[in-house]
Amino acid sequence: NPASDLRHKLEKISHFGADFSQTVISPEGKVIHRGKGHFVIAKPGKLHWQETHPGHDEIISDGKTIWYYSPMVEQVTIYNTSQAIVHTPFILLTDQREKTWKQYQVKQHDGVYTVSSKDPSQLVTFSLSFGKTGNIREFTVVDGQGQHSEFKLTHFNLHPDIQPGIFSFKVPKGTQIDDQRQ
Amino acid sequence: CAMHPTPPAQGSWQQVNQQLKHIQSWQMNGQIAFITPKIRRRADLFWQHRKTSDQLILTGPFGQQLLTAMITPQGATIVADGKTYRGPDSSQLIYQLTGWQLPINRLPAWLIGLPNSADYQLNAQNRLGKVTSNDGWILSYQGYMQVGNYVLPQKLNATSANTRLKLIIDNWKVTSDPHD
Repeated sequence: NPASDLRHKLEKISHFGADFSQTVISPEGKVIHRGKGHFVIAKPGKLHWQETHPGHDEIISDGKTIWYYSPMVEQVTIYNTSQAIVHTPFILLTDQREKTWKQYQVKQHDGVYTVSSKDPSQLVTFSLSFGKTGNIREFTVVDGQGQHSEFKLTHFNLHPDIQPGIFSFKVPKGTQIDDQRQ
Repeated sequence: CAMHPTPPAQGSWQQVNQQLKHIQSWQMNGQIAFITPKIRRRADLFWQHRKTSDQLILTGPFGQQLLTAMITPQGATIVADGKTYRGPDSSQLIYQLTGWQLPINRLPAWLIGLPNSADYQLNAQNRLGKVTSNDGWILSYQGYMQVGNYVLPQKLNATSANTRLKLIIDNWKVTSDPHD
């Protein structure tokens, strides 16, 4: 079934890096944002996401804690990863646990896998498509209002250079800490 | 991001003012930050301004919609966290919902570089440098950029009693008066 297919494809990717170019399209179909950046993902739940244009936000996770750092407001917001999966299906890419995947249903339509929460109050859906070599080519996040955020991936790298500490966040001096962990 | 040096002046302030007043509608993509004693928030901002309507969409890092506002002479419709709110005053509605002070009906003029107030200072290139509004906002223009034959703001700060707004504009689309 699509769920096990998708999990099988994702299991082959233990960790990877890529450059992304993001296009956000409003429910009425207007392009309202374009952005660029890069990220590295490792299991379980590890993420280093860096926007390079136009903004410079960072989203870092060590699998337990997520740091959302926004230099424009000199603040880092901290969440538990359990709080975040609900609104960042992206973390699903790195979380192979049965109890996580049980919360989601997966459909597949000509090569595009669409993941949505079984909890009806969670309206975010997340779809992804793969390239011939098993790399993720593109993924799209659709929020509850029908706003689409498409990420085209390039320089997909199954052996990214993972320096120590890239999955944890050192809070720069003078940064406001907004701790949202429950 | 690097500061854009202000392009050379193209005429007196009266000419600039006149030219800007011809702008009928515009659309911009940029970034907005709200800094108050209690809340700090940054979002990507899309703003479409027409003669009789303003549409704003604030977006988060993964592209999720944080807030939208549609303002017409009949009133404001705000959608935040999946709920829809309506009222006569968009700024008040947004303040009640988010704690952010956003002078929506004042910003369209300020964003393109019109003071809309008697109390303003120009910069060395005859462009708007500082504005003090009669309802407590102080704006300072940090940079401009060339957009066709216009020179429009690229970065500005607006501060009020307890809110500091930072606005960065990454992309402008302007349509001026057809008989301009």
